[in-house]
Amino acid sequence: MSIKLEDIKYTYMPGTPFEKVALSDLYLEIREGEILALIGPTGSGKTTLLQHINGLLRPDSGSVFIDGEELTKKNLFKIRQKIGYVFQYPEQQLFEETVFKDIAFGLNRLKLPEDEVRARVYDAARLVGVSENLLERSVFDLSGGEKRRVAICGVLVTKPKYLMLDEPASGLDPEGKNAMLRLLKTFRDAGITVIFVSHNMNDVAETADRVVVINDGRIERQGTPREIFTEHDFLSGIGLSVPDVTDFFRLLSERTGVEIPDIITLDEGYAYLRDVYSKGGIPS
Amino acid sequence: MRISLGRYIPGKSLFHKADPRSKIIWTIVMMVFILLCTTRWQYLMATVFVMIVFLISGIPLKYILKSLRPVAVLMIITTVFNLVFYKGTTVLFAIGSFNVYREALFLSIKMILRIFMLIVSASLLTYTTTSVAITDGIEYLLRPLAIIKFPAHEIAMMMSIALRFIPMFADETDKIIKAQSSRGAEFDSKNVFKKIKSYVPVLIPLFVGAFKSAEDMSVAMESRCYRGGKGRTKFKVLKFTKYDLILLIITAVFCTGVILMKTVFKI
Repeated sequence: MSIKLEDIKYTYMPGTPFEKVALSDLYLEIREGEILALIGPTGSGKTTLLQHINGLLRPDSGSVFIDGEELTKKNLFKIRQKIGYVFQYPEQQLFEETVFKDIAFGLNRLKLPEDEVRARVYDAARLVGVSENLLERSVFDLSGGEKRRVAICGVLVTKPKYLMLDEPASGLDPEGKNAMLRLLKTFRDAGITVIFVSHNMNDVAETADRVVVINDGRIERQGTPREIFTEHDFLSGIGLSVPDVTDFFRLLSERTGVEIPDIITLDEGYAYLRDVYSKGGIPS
Repeated sequence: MRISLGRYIPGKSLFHKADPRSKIIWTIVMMVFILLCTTRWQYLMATVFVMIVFLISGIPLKYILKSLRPVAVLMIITTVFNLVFYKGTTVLFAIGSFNVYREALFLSIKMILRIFMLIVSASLLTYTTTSVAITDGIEYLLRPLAIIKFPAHEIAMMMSIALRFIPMFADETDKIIKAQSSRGAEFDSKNVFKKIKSYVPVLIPLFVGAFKSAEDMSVAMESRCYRGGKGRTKFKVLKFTKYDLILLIITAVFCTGVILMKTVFKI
């Protein structure tokens, strides 16, 4: 089972001077159980793409298939329960009196029994790492990182099969950011397919199983982080970059003339250096 | 949700290039004289002048029609009432027991034309002038009132901030509605009370955000040493150009025409 987008075309404000083609000829398959990263320069159509997957935007032409079922106006509510969508800065959407009520908001329409609601809220809080003593506090008393976690809980509470996150780590401190990236892996291990947008190539290299590069509303490349981040010239050509560690070893290789394999994560970098030292250092 | 009414549409027409001050004067004079028109010849002249400026501005007809949509209902209702209840002398035709008079028909046409022209002239201003330029122009035109301690600059600043925030709030509302509906919120309930209640998850984040951005903005303004209009210079200095001359001449011709028609020719 997977999400499939077929020949999607979408134009913002057609027929006005503000007309802008946001997506064109877009084919994409998102496989179950993976962490997929969407990268691309600002205005390339990443958010527009995400909004097509849960039906917030309807394509001008083309179709979206969720687990083989085409997304239409009729099955919108059913499909949205399958697909969680965490917006950028989701903490801005909190509104209830207490954290508990805010997390449970997504369940109001499902008319579940009270103990089921309670169980689901606690499950989501545990998964995301919101401690139980926060649940009765006001959402406006929390810190930025806590608010974001609460907002993510509010999406997870409907038990989505797929979870889309728009820049989940932006605006968090380094500790919060690392925790957020670990959280994405936790979600995958809990059986949730994760789709996230990021501008930080380090985060993408460390976290994603597969990367999709989008530029000017088209998918330019897709592949494993290793396949994508070895194309340095292509990425810098569209205003993106490679992870810092990849840049570092590329420069090191250029300056020293030593062949160094492509390194895209910090762990690989450590491993390589340890290996080199154990063999007596870089030959000069 | 998109606000298209009164939104600036970039262009290079003579009307676009004219100074906001002369455009504001044009709009106000146009509106006053349209309201002064009484006979069909005066109406004809007003229509011709509005149409000339409309053609010069190069704004697509579609946009003008769009800005008329909100008052279309009003126009239709008044027309129907006029046709049914206005008593004249010459019967045109009858619907059931109601006579429709020739005078009623003319009155309705005049009414429609009047509303039409008022809206077209006002929307031509907003379609061809950025909100910043409009408030700049208003500030300039209100400046003489400083003698009676009228806070022209402050009012213009408040207006431009308000105008600046409208599209932002529209976008923000759109975003919050999307976010809450992804969380399972329901906005399409038929029950009015439920519908109002369903907007609570939108309004609270919107207000929280609005207060926060207002606070941020005041801090940003203060940290840039904003302290009102005194001694403040402009980045874009308003200049009176030949386009303004043309526009004001057109306006003057129109005004003289209406006045002559009313006093000398009596048509």
